[in-house]
Amino acid sequence: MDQRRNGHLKHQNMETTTVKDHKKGAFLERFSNADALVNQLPKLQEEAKIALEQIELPNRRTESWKYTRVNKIIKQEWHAGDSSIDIDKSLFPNWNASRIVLVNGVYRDDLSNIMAEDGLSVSSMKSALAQQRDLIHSHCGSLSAHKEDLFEAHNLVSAEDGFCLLVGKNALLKESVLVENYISGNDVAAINRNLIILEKGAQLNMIVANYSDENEVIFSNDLSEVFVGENAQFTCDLVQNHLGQEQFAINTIWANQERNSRFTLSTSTLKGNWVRNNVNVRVSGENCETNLYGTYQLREKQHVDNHTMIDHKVPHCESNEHYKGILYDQSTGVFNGKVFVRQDAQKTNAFQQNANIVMSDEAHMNSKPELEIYADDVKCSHGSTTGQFDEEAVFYLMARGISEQNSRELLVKAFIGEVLEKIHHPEVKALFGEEE
Amino acid sequence: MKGLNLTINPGEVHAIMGPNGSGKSTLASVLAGNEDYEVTGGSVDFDGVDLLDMDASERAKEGLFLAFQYPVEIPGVSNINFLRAALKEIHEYKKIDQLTAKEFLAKVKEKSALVELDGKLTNRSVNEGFSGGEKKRNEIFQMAMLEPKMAILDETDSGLDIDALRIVAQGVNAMRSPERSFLLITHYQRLLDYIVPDFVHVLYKGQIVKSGPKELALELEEKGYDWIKEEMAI
Repeated sequence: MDQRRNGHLKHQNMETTTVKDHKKGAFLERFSNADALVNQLPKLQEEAKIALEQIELPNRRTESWKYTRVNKIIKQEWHAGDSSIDIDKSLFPNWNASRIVLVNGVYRDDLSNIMAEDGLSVSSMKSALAQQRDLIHSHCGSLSAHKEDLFEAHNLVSAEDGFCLLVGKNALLKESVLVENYISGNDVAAINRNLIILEKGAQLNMIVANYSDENEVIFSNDLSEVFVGENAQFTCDLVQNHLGQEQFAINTIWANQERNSRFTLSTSTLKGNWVRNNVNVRVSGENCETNLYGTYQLREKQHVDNHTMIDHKVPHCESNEHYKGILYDQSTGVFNGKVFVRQDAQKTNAFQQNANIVMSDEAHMNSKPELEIYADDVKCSHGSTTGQFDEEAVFYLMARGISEQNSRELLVKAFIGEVLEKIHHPEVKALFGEEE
Repeated sequence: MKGLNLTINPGEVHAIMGPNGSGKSTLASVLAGNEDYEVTGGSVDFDGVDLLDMDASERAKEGLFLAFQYPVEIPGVSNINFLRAALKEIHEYKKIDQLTAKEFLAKVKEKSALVELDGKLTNRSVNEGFSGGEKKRNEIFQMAMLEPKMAILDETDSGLDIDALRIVAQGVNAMRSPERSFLLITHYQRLLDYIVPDFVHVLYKGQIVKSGPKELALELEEKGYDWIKEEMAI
């Protein structure tokens, strides 16, 4: 009897696996692309192919996807979008420095506008692969986790374009570079892969803005590899504004820092029905500074998941991480921040903080700071707080004559403000109603 | 509160004393519009309007001020910015001209000097990292900035050393005028040496059980509250 039950169970398991394989296969099939960049990068293609065969679809037991469901992405009949459509909107209409425009994952020469500046070179990944083959071969896929993560492997096999930005040795770019990444259409999937390379002593400030419109069904999987060379300084403000209900955005950044360099990234999720951000920084050289900031204010059924990883491999480095969010209605948030301090990484200072205010009984926040420290002479701290709105403070402000609505807005701003002030570009701060 | 009647005329200073749990702070919270309290009956006529019809913010705009017993710390909101926001709304409500930035700063300087509040504190987040005395002085500073018709001071003197008490009292006295009324809620007669009231009331079990001139406070200080309880029993 027992044996029979066991046999029965076993059979069921096999069936589930087959169904999952079938789902995964059908999903990946939609993205098979003869024009994918990876077709010219055989080693990476092989690695990704093996990974896609071996890695299961994420489910509740997959630690890194525990709180974020991917079923809807897997089920949907995605197709490539029209990359030649006209785009008439921007969060930064008055931008008058360099602008890179991607439409549905494809670099648009006609809409991009690159200022002639010493040391700056920008092109599409497609043309970089044709003209700077060695550069792409030595960098593309050298940081990303396409061997371990299904969606990173998916990005690698599907992306047919993106941008490649190089800042040459000792080039200090005076003007910031704006990257606008539009996704538009219905059942449209936009997959792009970017390279950002800062050579020794280079400096780059950039804004990356990802948009999609209301009433469109969209999936984007956007991956950037950032190489911050020795003594280079990289600052990026990432803005996400996905206005529609059925929109799924995965945004992955992999960075490597050489010694004496600085990497600063802020992620502002203005709106997003389903957003997954992965920020991974390998600190490979001594005396580096790494700063990660993030804000999210979620309403209705929005779901935003911020996964970060900072890997301190060498001594005398500092990292600061500060994510703050407010959750209204039935929204859910996830924060998972991993910091590794390897055995050799003595004298590391690593600080991490995630704070949340939950405004409704139906909103949820899942916050998990993870520190793994193998060195013994380090200063590390992490904290996670999730609480209710301070109603006493509301009453205090109201008792001074400030209306209830303004009191609440003032307190929300004050809470988020600590992170907002870390945003580099006033143009991005202005999106939060801050004065420039 | 169990049926409390009190009339405060313009320019008068009333002190309310009473043992712990008599309802002193409840009275302050109810008047200011704290929504943790429900008013089941009665009315509060404030210069022709019923306060109970209004939320805390509207009451403040009508000219009511509460100096909190426990001022709230609000990280990230600067003292100055929040007062600017409050004054802006009050001026809009009263349809009077807004202060210019220069006028506002001059006012901050003048009023903070009144309670010897350090300029650094006026720029910091509301009450964050303030000492007990600084918090209470900050309450009086805010009162001076907002220039209410009536101010309720809820145990502003509790926990203050004599120097801080003197500064707070000096601020209040400077604000006294024929148009402005005060309701002082206190445990201790000591405050009334510095801010001399026109009337003293004893609150007990949610009612005013005795009213008298300022000398009543001295009597309470000397004899405690038991004699009043006995008097009531008779």
